[in-house]
Amino acid sequence: MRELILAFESSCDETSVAVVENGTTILSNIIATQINSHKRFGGVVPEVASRHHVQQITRCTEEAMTQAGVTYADLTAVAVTYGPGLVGALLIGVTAAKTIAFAHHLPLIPVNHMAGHTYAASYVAPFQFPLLALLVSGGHTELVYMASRYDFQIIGDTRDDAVGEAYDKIGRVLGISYPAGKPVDELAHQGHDTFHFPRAMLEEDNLDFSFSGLKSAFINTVHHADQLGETLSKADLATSFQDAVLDILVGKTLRALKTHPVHQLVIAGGVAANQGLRARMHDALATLSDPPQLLIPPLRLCGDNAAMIGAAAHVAYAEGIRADWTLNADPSLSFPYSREALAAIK
Amino acid sequence: MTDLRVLAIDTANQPLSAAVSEDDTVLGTVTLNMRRTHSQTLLPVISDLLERTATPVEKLERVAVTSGPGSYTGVRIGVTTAKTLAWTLGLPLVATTSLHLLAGNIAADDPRLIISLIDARHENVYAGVYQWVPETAASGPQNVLLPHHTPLAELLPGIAALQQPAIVVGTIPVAYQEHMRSVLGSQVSFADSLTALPSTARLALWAPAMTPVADIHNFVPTYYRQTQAELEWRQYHDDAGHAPYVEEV
Repeated sequence: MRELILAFESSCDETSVAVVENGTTILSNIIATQINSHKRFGGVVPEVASRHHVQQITRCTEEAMTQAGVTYADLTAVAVTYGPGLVGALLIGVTAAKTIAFAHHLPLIPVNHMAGHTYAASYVAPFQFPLLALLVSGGHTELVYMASRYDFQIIGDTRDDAVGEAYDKIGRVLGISYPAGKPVDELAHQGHDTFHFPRAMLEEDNLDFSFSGLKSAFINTVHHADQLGETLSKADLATSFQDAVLDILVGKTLRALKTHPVHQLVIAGGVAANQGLRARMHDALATLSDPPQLLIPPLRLCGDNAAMIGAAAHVAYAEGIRADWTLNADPSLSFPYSREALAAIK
Repeated sequence: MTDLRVLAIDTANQPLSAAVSEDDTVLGTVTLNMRRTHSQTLLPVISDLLERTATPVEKLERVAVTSGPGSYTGVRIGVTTAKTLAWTLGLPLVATTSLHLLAGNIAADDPRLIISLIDARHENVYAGVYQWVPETAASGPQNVLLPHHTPLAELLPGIAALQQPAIVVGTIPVAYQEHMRSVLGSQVSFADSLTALPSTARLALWAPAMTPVADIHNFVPTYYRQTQAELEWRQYHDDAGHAPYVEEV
């Protein structure tokens, strides 16, 4: 039987609508990005994001349906990201998805945005459990353990900034406009780690991350040089920053793999597009005697998109997860923390 | 056309109102005035209202909505619901302002100017002025002064200049009322709080005579104010020639 899910994603600055078949085939994945708009302000302005979403939502839906070549009668269910994210932005996708499900008598599947990011990697290969996911984006830096197909437990989390946020903040100091991830990554391939920034919490016996110390060290280094009238190599700064970030991300992931042996390691979220991270994790796994299979979504599925929501919704649907017409946005929705992660926070 | 079934909704401010009509008969309406998120309440209310008026969603022929002004999030819930429903069912969408809808609560034989006000906080209001004209009464009172966002103090000289008796409708702080009385004296009187509840039953009845929105995809709320970020940006920049703010990738 052909299962078709119409999926919506509007948690931040992308309006996206997709049609996904059987959780494995993307029939359409329309993504309307607002980056050019928010670049004006140096970051996402929530009210502006919400206004753009309202203007995009039905057009993107129409294109997703047309490109997939399906009608409402063909659909099995409607799925939508209901959190975490910007509440005003989430509400547009949630409202549109609810309305379409209601108008066509379809079941409604609520999806956690981070479950979507994780399941983006299922387009690379079918998941095998247990599985570990390193979720890295502008809003999140999490290690998530999956014992089974819809069981997500946070075993490591950032104590302060998300990794993508740190890129944007140091990018500003380098004169690189938001979003800074890709340009910093490219610059980092042209220099050397000459500054040896701190690798916070790397030696600590937990799976949590911290990037604010690294960010401060970076900014202080640049300001100090400015005061002395010195010009530092931007490439060396970028390389030193990225090397520290990758040491932390890869180091903590390897530590997690020791305590949580898994069949597969997923890296997902916007920062999974980072070429340095992809290469370093690949090399690090090669040193292990019995490494897990590394799954990283293709670039188009690393950023926010509705196809990933459709893939997660396929599993949620099989698990019997449904929402009714009272579904609301939940901006601070989170996976549960494992007992060990909770103990580490205290 | 006969048996024209309309669904009308308004979530622009704290009240939530929905109505279903058939031709010139209101089959049902629900108005809530609670501090609850419209997101959680609107679709359950619509679902219940359609069921109780024996209106399968497929039987709807027109959707009507208020496009603001009001709470930005509230307006977006109503507009997104209405445009999505109209688009996905292939129905015409009609829209008016929440100020026009309030003005419609004043009886059609009342010759006075109708000043519709919505509190925009810090002594600011969204304001529109209306008057009933018998020839066009089927689609509500006529607009005399376009809806806009203004400090209350700046609105009043214009009202005084019209030199006509006026009735004020809307939920506004007592201090605003006192201010208006002190400036306009006996020119103005104030409708009661029940009259300030939006009535989508009325909007549903106006809907058949209203001109449908030409392009549903591009239909968005009327905000009457730019965001602070955009205001500041436009002080030093120009939209002209800027790369498209939203693009498909």
